[in-house]
Parts: sequence; C-alpha cells; structure tokens
Amino acid sequence: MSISVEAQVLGRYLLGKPIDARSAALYEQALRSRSVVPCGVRDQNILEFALAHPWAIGCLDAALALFGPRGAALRRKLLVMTAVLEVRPEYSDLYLTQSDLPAPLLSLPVIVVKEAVKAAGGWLLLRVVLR
Amino acid sequence: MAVVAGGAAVNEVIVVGSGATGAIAAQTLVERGFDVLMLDGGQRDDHYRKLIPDLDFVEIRSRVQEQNRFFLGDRFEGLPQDAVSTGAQLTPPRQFITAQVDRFLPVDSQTFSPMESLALGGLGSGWGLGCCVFSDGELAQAGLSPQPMREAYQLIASRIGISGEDDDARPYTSAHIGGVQPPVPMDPTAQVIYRRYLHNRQRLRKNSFAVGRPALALLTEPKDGRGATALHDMDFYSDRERAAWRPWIGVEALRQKSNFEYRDNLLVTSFEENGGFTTVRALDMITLQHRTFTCRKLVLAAGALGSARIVLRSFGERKRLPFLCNAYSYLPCLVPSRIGKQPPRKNSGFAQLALFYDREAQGEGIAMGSLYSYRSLMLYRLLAETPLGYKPARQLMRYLVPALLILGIHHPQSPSPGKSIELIADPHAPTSDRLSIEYALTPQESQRIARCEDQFSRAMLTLGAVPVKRVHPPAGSSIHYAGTLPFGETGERFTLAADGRLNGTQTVFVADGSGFRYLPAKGLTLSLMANAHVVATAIPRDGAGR
Repeated sequence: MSISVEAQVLGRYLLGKPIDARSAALYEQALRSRSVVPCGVRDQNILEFALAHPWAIGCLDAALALFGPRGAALRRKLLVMTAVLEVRPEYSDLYLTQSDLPAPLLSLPVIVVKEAVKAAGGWLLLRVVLR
Repeated sequence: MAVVAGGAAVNEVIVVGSGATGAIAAQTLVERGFDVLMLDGGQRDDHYRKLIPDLDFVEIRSRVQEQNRFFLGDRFEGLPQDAVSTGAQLTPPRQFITAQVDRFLPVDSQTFSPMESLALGGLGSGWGLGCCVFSDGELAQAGLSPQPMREAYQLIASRIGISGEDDDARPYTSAHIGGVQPPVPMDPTAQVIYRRYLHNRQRLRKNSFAVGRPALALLTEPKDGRGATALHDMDFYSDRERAAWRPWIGVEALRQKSNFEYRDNLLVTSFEENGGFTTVRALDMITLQHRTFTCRKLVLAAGALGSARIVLRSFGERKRLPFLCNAYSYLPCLVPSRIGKQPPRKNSGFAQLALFYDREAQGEGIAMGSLYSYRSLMLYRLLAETPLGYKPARQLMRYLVPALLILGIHHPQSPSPGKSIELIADPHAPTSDRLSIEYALTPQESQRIARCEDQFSRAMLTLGAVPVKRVHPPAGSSIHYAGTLPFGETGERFTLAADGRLNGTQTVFVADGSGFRYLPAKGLTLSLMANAHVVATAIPRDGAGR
C-alpha cells in the first residue's frame, strides 16, 4: 500500500472523514524523516491487517492501547498522523477547546464505555490476526 | 590584555560557559573592570526563531499554515520515537539546548539520564524561570554564607527582573527581595486550586503546606529594553519580547562592552597553572583541533558535571566525585469543576502555583511542588500516554485538558555513597573520555520521598484536584545537579574553598553549583546565580592569585 493511501486510511479513522492532500503529504514527509518499522512478524501482521481492513482500526487501536504490546507499529503510525493533523489549521477545532464543551458528565462515560467495548472486540480480533 | 614571553596573549580572566552562572559571573567581573574572555560551546537556534509569528497559541493553531515547521520540526524532530514522557521532550525551537552533547559530553550510566548543554545560555535557555531563595539553614547546609547570598539575591533580582506575589509562598520564593513586579495572571484552573487553599489554609498550614504564586524571572512590566510578557502561551517556542530572562540576554549585553570577548564552538577540556598564569586547553568543536588560551584567573561555570570533567582531567587523577541531583516526580491531576471548560486565550506556560511542604524543623527539609497547566506542549504528547485509541483519546482530552494540572515535585538531597561520578577512558570520544555516573537513592531517601509524595497527593485532594497517577521519570530529570566539588575546609583537592577557589590551585575558581554540599528542593537557578556573583565579587585583582 502506498504511503499516501495509508495516510488516507489512518486519517479517515482519526477524523471520520477524508484528509486534505497537504496533511497526507506531511504524513509522508514525517515517515521519511522518522520511519516506523514493525518490530517483528506479529507486529507486521497487525499493521497489514489494519491497513487492509480499515473498519478494524478502531478496535485494534483500542486493544493495543489497553493490552499492548507497547510500541506497536500501528500505534506509532497513528501517533504520527495524530500529530500531523493537530498542526493543520483546518482541524484545529478538533484539538482545541475553544468554548465550553457540552454535557461532560454524559459525554465522557459514553466515550469510555464505547472504547471498552471496542477494546474487547479488538482483543478478540488480535487473536484471529495473530493465529 | 597582556602579552607573555613568546607573544601569547594573556587574558585577565577566562570564564568557561555561558549558562546562568557564567553569564552572571562574567557580568560581575566586567562591571568590576576585569577584562573577560568567555569560552563557550555556543550552540544556538538561528532557524526556528525566525519562523514563529508574533501571535498567540490559539491564533497560530487556527490560522498559520506552516505551524508544523516549529511545532513538529522541519525534520519532525518534535515527534517522539517511543512513548512520550510528558514534558521531557524539548520542542524543536529548543532542541539547540542539547545539540552536540551526545558527541562531546558522552555519559555512561545505567541509572541516570542527565541533561547537559553546549548552548549559548546553557541549560538556562530552557529554564522554567522559577526563582527561590534558600533559607539560612539551607544555605549553611549547602556551604554558603547567608549574608553575602542575601545581598546577591537582591542584586540578581534587580539585574534579571522578577515577578511574583506577596503571599504564603513568598518566604520561599522572593523573601527580602524588593522591586518584584506583579505576577502574571493565574489561569482559571489554578484559581480554583488557590481559592480552595485559602478556604482550607489553616488545615494545610498545620500539615506543613504553603501555597502561593511562584516568583518567576518573567517580566510583567518593561525593564531595560525588554518587554512584558504578551501571555501568548508560546513560552516553549519563542519569546519576542525577551520577557523571560535567559543567560544569552546577559551575554549579548556584555558583548557590547569593550572589556568582554566571546568565543564559541569551544569546549574547554583542561587547565594547567604555570608560574602565575593558567593555560586553558579547549577543543575546537568544528575542526576538532586543540587550542590554548592563557589567563591570570580562570572561572569554571560549566555546570556541576562540566566543571567536574575539566577538573578531573586537569588534576590527572582517577577519582570518584560525589554528586547531587534532586529526585523528581510528577502527578497529573484533574480539577473536576474545569472539565470541558474553555481555557483562557491569554496564558503563560510557566508554573501557575508553587507548593512548599516545609518539614525543615523536623529535619526533613523542604520539598517543592510546581503546578503547570497544559496546552501549548500539544495534545499528541498526552494522547500517547492514555490507555485509549487515538481517536477517542483526542475526544476525551478536549474535555480533560482544561482541567489538567501537572504537579512537578522536587525533593531535597544530601550526599550518599550511591551517587558519584568518574571519568573513564573512551578512545572514540573527541575528549578521549566519558563520564560514568552512578546514582542510587538510599532506602531511607526512597521512603521519605514516597511519604512526601503521599502528602502532596493528599494536599491536592484538599485543594480540589484529583491525582491521576504518579510518574517517576528517569533519575536526572530534575536537571538540578550539584556537589561534585563540594565546599570543604580541609583544603583537599577536588573541593572548593569558601570563596569558590578550587583547592589545590591558586588561580582557578568555580562559580557554578559544583560546591553545594546539600541540594534544597527549591528552584536552584537564582541561588546558583547569587553564588556566581559572590564568587566573582571575591576574585582578587592581584596577578599572583590569593
């Protein structure tokens, strides 16, 4: 998979929509400067599965964040894309708190519960991918 | 400048290093009429400074297309390689502070990760600006004399400009210092904490805690051609107004004086005294050739580790030297009432509040906490630390960041056998050696630190903040180092006389923290500068040394 396609896959997961060409180009530059290499066959398999099946990225991201292994290539690439998107003015409102946010007592538990469910699904998915 | 036989120029004084202590010592000497040559690594940022617009953090984030260049770096050097330890990474515009250090100041240690600098301004270029005065008890334990230090504190404060408040923290921060400018405004999250402190003051004071505004070397009013802080919350990237005092500001002013000369890209490696003159050997960091300079007086201000290296080479003796470094930990805390609230547009990235846990009367010293809000160090650094996928972590952090305060805790430190340094041979290093560092806390120290952290956690709960976890970054993260050449009355080599002269020499003085026999937890830099001034004041003018 080309890096520009990879950028779109990861960016779409993080933002919920396609990313602009400049963001994809920055991601490519970032990977050339700070290459992310999978640590072994298992890590490579997880990365390839995620990129080939974008619907699974959220679950795998959740499971890897909670259960590890720490430093998984998918997580490292997502960190690079997260940082790239954060410094794009077009997406600044997704990172900055520019006004009081509504209903934190409702929103935060919902985020956490959804994430826990995804992590459980991702854990099962990892068992399949690494079988 | 005199000339010796053979035509070599003799400098009246050579000062090694341009950090906080070198800059202050040099200024004092220049003002006393000495001819001063400063030899320095001199690494600087000539690249990112020009890229950063004069706008606040929110405006830059919302409007500036090229912001990736200074937030992430042109080589994306701002991106972590592995998981991030919050606050440990220098922003790209500040990475010059540690440029060339791995090459020229190699270290060998399994237990300690120091941060050293070959930059113009040294580690002072990344100083958090916190100013504290040591108590008389702390000064005595460190080997310093209270009277001259008190006078020096005032003089240094007048030179650099300090802002702060007359509150419960003042006895620890700017006691007896006049001319303190008003403090920077407190952000709303810190205001919640401070209101809770005032409400629970009696109980917290009874538990040995004092809370108040930190004294910062940050101008809130113009002074000496420098502007007041614009509160752009870009403090970790730029400072157009020069509101934050940095040693390079002092060095830059000295370069306008006829009796001061500055030479960079030089790493001083050793010295040798010869009949009233001292030969100083320095490695040219570009050509790797050695150069020599001659002086009547030598002032070492290369930091406790840097000066120790120079002295160890010069005395030619294999020896383990003692070493002090404040233990450091941090507690991210959440203030529930601030979750999801909009942060202020104008803000400062420097400490909002200071907490002092004073157990000096009980013989346990004074621990210091500094509270910081978190915004301009970017969200991605925090997201990597959460046990969540990056997408929901970002959504969650937008709610939590306005409520987040980071409490950094420094602990006082005394010498013990497990903390020492030694130079060992390394034929691959440009200096043919590397610094071996051993660092281990005693069980008693570890227990005291744990108890102290428990107290800070309880205090934060009383103040309305919920500690999320305790983080213990690698030893060395406090970036407070001292005690490698401790003050001593015996006249032994590798110790300092009371006036800062290196015992075993006639003409070599040490102006940095190498002499401190005890390291209080309070912010160190103001005391380092005060001591540097005291040492520079005492250097005699006669040509034959003492």
